[in-house]
Amino acid sequence: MHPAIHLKNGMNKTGPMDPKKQILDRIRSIRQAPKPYPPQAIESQETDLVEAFTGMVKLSGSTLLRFEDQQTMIDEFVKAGHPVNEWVSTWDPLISMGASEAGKFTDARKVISCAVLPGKFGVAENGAVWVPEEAMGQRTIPFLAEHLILIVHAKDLVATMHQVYAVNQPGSYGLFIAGPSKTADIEQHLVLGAQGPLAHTVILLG
Amino acid sequence: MSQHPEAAARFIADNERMAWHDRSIWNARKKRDLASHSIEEWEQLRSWASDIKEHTLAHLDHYLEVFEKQATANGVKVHWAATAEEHNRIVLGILRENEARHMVKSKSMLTEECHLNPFLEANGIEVIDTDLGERIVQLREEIPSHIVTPAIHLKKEDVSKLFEEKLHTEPGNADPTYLTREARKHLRAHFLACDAALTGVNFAVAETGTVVVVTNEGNSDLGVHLGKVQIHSMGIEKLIPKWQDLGIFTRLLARSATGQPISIYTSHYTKPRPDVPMHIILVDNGRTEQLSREHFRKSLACIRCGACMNTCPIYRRSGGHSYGSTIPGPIGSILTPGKDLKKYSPLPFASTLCGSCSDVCPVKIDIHDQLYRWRQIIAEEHLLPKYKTIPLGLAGRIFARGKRYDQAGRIARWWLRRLPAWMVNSRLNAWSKHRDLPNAPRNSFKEWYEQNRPHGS
Repeated sequence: MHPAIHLKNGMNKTGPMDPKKQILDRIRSIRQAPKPYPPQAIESQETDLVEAFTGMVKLSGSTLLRFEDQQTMIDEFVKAGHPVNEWVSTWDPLISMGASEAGKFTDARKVISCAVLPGKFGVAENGAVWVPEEAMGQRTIPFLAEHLILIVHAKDLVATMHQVYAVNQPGSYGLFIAGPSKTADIEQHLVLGAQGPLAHTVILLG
Repeated sequence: MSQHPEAAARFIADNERMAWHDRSIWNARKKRDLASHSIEEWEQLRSWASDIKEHTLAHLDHYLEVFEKQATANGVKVHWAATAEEHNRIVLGILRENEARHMVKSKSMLTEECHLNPFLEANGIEVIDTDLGERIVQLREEIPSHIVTPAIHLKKEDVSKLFEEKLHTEPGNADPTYLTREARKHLRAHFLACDAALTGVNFAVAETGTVVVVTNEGNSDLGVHLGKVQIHSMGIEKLIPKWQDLGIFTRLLARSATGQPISIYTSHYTKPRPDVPMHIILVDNGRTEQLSREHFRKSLACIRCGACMNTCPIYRRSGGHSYGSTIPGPIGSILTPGKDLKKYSPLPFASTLCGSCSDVCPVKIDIHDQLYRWRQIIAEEHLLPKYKTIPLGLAGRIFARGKRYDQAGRIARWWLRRLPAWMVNSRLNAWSKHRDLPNAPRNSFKEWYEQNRPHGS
């Protein structure tokens, strides 16, 4: 077909067509050679995962804290005078220390000063952490909190995005979070804290 | 008719601002280089991405049906729209069904293409664009000048003035952090008051029925999770076959767009919340027509990273608005002529054909080759302006005959050496607007070679 010829969409002799049928019919009327799905052989690289991950988290304007284990983290970080009873979390040890359950949070207008959520994977190449819906309590929590803290175990670090998608299933909803919300929409000046959290911390355990 | 040359001339009239725009956008190109060079397998990723997109486009009917089936099984309502008008009517229908009057929107070039906002506003719906850059251009009643950074054409003082008028911010305070915080308060109020949210889509995974939306601000998720109904509008070319393909595309997108290793939020919407309906609208609006054009089909592989704009010497020095199309820059100049060849015939000429756009494209679209092909079609369709056809016709007659060409060259060189500089570089000579012609040599290269070539060759 000549590129300059414009087809009239939307109507046939009997009136408006079913748009689905119309779109699929048009695609099928186009002669296209079949193209194979490319074989991919993605090799995982030899990298120091903790070092790479730490560097990337810091690069995105976030804070990285590392503790040997959960108990050390609680003793050295949580008990260092933080107002845990103002926090929101899905993590049982924090809830037992007085943090509100994220799943029970109902008023989006109420300020959440800090939310602490467990992440499932950390990606060394970009500092992103995969947070599945189950870890949020509800979907708004990672965005309404002014400070978001994600907890990741060092054993859950992977080199690249490929490895997460290879083992992780979509679930109902989930996302990668790679820092505090940010924008550079005003004259390319980077501003941390756009619509979501103003601050982002990753706690690495192990 | 889109008059890119005239609009570009207005843009470059402010030399200082043009230089600032050029530098500012080149900055994004430099960041893209650093980010892409840090990945050893970058070229391999580009090849895979290109092959996956070509494969998907070759079997688009199949993947659309698989996607619909999967998304429906996930509890999502899937709609099909052949045209922009159908898309807009579907959105309005969903909003009315849910008694929604306040909709927040996160970045979607598709809804710009469909002119959704004016349609909804005429039907009594309030639409708030929530990406900061998009909100800025919405308040200015403009369209985005760049697909990733919509307000890249504005200085912070322009934003300060706008916010002072519209959001009552402090007069004269142009601090980007202050302005962003004020916008945050303004937009948060809209998020909390919204009863519907609409987003664009970066990738749609056929095998899982998932739509993926990428933002840095978190605006897509705030709207989607606070609204009482969620709508995702996508062009049919956004499909990819498999969940694992996301590994490739998420590695390419942000690095190509802003030079970040990944955007802050990469959200995967698969199933709705229990009490909140989720809709996905699959939109054609000219895409199947572009698919039918063999030489331009590959343009549908675009993942909207904007790298071709950031690298383009014409885009950087003429600004996105000069193109007069929803998608500006090199990719816009190959996508848009198919919508209305006559109206957009100047766009494929808004290029030096240097090929840098094709080099940086993460899905290997042969952008500059397609620009050249459009030029040929535009010439065949007699859509070139007279100021191009008359001199080119004359030049064609001279170039066609060797003797005539030699003679014309001799005459030109004779006069160029004798005419005063003010005449040679006069205003009639467009070439000398920003530079002087070099001094004409006595001989042509051909004559020089005749005299100097080694004997016997």
